Amino acid sequence: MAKSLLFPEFKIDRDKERCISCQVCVRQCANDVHEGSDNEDTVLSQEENCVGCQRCVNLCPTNALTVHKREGGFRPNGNWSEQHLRGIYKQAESGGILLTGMGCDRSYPIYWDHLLLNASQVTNPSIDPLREPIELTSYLGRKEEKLDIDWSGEFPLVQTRLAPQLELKVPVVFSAMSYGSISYNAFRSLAEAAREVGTFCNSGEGGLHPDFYPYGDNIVVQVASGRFGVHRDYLRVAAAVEIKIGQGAKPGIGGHLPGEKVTKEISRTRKIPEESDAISPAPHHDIYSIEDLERLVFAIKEAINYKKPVAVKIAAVHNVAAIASGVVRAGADIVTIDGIRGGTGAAPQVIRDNVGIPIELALAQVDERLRSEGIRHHSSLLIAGGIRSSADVIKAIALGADAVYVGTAALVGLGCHLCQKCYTGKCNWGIATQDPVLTKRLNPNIGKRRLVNLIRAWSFEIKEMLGGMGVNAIESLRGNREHLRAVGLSKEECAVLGVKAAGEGW
Amino acid sequence: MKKIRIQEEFCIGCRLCEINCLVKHSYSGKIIKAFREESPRALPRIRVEEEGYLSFALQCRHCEDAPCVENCMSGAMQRDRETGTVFCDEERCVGCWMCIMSCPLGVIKREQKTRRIASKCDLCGGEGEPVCVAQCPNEALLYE
Amino acid sequence: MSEIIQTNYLLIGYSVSSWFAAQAIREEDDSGRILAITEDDKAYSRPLLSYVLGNRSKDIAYFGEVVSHNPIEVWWGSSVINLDGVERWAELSDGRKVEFERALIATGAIPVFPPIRGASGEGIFTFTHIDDLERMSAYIHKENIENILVLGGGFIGLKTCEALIELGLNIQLVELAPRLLINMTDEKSSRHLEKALIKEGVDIILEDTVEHFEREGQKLRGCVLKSGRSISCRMAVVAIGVRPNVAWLKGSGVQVDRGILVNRFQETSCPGVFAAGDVTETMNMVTGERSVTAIWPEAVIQGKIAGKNMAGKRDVYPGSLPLNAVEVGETALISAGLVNPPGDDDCEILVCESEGSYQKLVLKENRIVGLVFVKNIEKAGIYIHLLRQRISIDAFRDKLLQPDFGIISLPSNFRKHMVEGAGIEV
Ligand SMILES: Cc1cc2nc3c(=O)[nH]c(=O)nc-3n(C[C@H](O)[C@H](O)[C@H](O)COP(=O)(O)OP(=O)(O)OC[C@H]3O[C@@H](n4cnc5c(N)ncnc54)[C@H](O)[C@@H]3O)c2cc1C
Ligand code: SF4
Ligand code: SF4
Repeated sequence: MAKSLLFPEFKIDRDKERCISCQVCVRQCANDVHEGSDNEDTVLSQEENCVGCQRCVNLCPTNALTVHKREGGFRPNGNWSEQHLRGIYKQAESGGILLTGMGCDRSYPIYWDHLLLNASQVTNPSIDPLREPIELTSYLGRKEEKLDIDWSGEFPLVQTRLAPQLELKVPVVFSAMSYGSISYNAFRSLAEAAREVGTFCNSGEGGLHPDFYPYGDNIVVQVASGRFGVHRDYLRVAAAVEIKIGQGAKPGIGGHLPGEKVTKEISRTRKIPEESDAISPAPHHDIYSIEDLERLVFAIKEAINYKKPVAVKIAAVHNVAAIASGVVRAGADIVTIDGIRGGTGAAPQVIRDNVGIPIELALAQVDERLRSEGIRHHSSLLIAGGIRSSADVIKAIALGADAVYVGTAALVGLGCHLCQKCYTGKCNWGIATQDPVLTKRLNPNIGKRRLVNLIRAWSFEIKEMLGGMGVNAIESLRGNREHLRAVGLSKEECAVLGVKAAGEGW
Repeated sequence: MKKIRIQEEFCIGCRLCEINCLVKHSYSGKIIKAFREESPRALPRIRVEEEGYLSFALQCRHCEDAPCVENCMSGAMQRDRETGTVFCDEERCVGCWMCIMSCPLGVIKREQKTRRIASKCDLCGGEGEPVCVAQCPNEALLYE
Repeated sequence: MSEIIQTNYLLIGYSVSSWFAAQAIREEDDSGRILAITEDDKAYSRPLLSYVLGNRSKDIAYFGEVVSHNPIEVWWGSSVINLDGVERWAELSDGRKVEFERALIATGAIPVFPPIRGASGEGIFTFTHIDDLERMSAYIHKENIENILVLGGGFIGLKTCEALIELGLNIQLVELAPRLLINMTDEKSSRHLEKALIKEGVDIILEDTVEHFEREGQKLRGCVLKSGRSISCRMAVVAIGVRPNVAWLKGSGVQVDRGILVNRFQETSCPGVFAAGDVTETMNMVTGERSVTAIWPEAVIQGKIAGKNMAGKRDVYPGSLPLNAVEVGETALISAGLVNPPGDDDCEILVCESEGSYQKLVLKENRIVGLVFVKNIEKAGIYIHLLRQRISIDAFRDKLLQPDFGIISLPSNFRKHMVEGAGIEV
């Protein structure tokens, strides 16, 4: 094989004064970067294999290691960036599509960072969340046109039959990550945390391992184009069913779980033979129109006796507002929209980084469109793709979302360092892997605790922000764009977002 | 009595427990000194065993009717009446290795101090969480 | 008529076996009178003798909690001279008489002293008693001893050498067998020990023994060996073995062969009279043969079992297991069970040898029946446990003696039981 033109992406600095040759780094790196030498007292490193996941840095007991981006190598060039050059070298060597994991890491504008929140001053008092209740509960599902109420008795009674709802104690849901793309322990952490904080996690398209059936009340199950693991009990055990049409990280294309990852347990869960590739086709082969979608939505509603909401997940693409309108009309109780920064376990890099639109814009447009058509209450909006903090959550709600999905943020909470190598199955943090040596590294008791802490911390912050605005319930904020102002955005962007520029009053 | 519980399903084989145990039982108690300057280097009193993807850290179980205590002919190996910890009084130990022969888990080592003595887990003195538990990055050891 | 004392439990001899017996009795019976009669002046540890002589230990007293936390009535410095195992009374040297319901005979062992010409008189010692320690220490100092002869390369002989090395004496070690610790070693492990001894300056003479000692007046001058070689020394330690201390039992009704014969409950031929420790002859758990296994761990187990049974419980003795450890310089050796299986036995032998270290396992019918480890001794306890528990090694045979052999190599239910189960409580 000819010599590769690539060189290491990371540089490992081992402080010789501090290194005690304890070999922890050697044992922790699944990429075989570190190596004990014959002379017991030194450890050597093979930088070429380093993916910058920081596992060794984290575990080194003397802080002898730093792993940083290797400087130099590529001659600086405004047009030919390192990423492009690396891509070309790799492809010239491999002849294949470049794969990657996690969400788009390009520096497209992040609109959350251009939106600012309001607060009360003098004329409308703010609320102190430590003294007064602030309600974070929200309900996802179809809302009625009008309620018939019987006032004759001692208490008023609602006469209208209400559509099924998901009750969220916090407007944050763990997004679809299948057992297969993530480990059993990672999934367990999510499921336990969802139950503890009163929210939901999503099975992803890989079916539901029998161990997680007891968590059904806090799980949304997916029906995707591969229909893996879909059967009656799967649909019935869950709190809601989500039909997955598209994913923000790879709109328009299907999925592929390589056979090596299809272990015994995964084959059992997905109902496919062990070690066979699990391929999700790009489209559902029974859905070519809104009417086809409607048929599937109602087939599922029939299967679950109309007892639980059915969601439809689409990727944020150019015509997202019109598509969402169709989806609502197809009977979806919840519309999930996943933006360009949505994560993935594996996707072609070119798709991930170039297809789709940011979720902020899509959300604003969908909300606007549904309102103008008078059908906004027919479905709840659940949005995903790059929510990083409680501020992002609250801005999303002010922009029109009922709740948000978090995927990457949850994994980061579990220890993910965004090395983007999920697709290799060698996740050193035990998250996106099925290797039993690595999966042990995520203790679900710790994972659960961390996620519960994270969501709890976010809800405190959301309450503080809501109180500051003088709003005492999260549902009262939904779609109230007067609480948002834009900085550093063009007129057009402001218009798409339906947000005034900072400095403009009511 | 509080004991160290081993959760082998979460042991990641990093051996940080061994490293921290060694440091705790070194002269300086400082990691870099303990490894690079102290000679002879202190010994860890915990042992990580590995086979395939299975691993776990093992240290003295502080047995009831501890055979090492019964068979110690100097009375050096003893149980702390208050904490229940089985520990070796280094002053009194003569290095006869009766305890090593008796321990079914093989967790007693010979350690070179001013003379060779038996060295084993002392639960870090029996106060608070032992370092192996406190420093396990994955809570594979619990003290309860 | 001399005084008659009555007790529920009488312990004759108060050393390891009796300590553990007393504790076991107390666990079952918290009020019965336990009376111990011993010739000693205090509770001391015999195995510490050599370490005190070699200045490794300051104190010969035994501080273990089995003594310190289990106070019973002890009559120090008195001896039993007669026993009637049928009528259940014992007579003391001062004439007092003790009537008992249950008695334990735990009078230990006494050194074998050879009928060699010139052996009696000044300068020649045996080394099993606290008085020997004091006499030897004093003699070495008083006479300014530099060269010393140790007759017997058995366990006590070697322990004595360990101590004398620490005192900086020149030692000549004479052993009749072709190797040291004849029952505990094989050829190779003995060579390791010999090497270590030589390194410490010990002159080892194998396959030879003292023909007679030579004296100059009262004082020892040297000796002549069977081989004709003559050695000059002014002090000698005779360590050619011990035998059960049973002479005083004549007429007691207790059945004795080499040692006291006991059944599975440590009970002698006289019901109600038990025996434990060095004084007994027990069934070897590996060979099934009767022998005297005069070691501390046996005294512990037998004492405990005897105590339980004396207090009315039923506890069965599993059989004796010879085991021991020595260390010379850097070379430590642990041995247990059957190290040299007789040729006609269908035993299998596993050996692992590397620089300075030697490990040998003797297997029979898929079970470990013996071992000797040199240098890498720290995991010996695991193998000894497997031996005692008679665990089949089928499931992990290929891992035996591997450097990473450990608890992890054992079948998971067994290992979990060991770590967490009832066997060893967590
Ligand atoms: C130098 C030396 C080193 C040793 N090293 C080791 C070692 O490293 N490891 C090991 O496992 N074992 C070792 N042993 C053996 C160990 O000491 C014995 O196995 C153990 O002491 C046996 O305990 P016992 O209770 O049976 O008898 P002993 O300890 O012999 O005690 C006998 C007791 O009986 C008393 N007594 C005797 N006759 C009478 C009587 N007529 N009336 C009243 N009291 C009487 C004595 O005073 C004494 O208290 C060593 C022994 C010696 C001598
Ligand atoms: S050292 Fe071994 S025998 Fe002693 S208490 Fe600990 S585990 Fe038990
Ligand atoms: S080596 Fe020390 S602790 Fe172990 S039995 Fe001997 S004296 Fe006791």
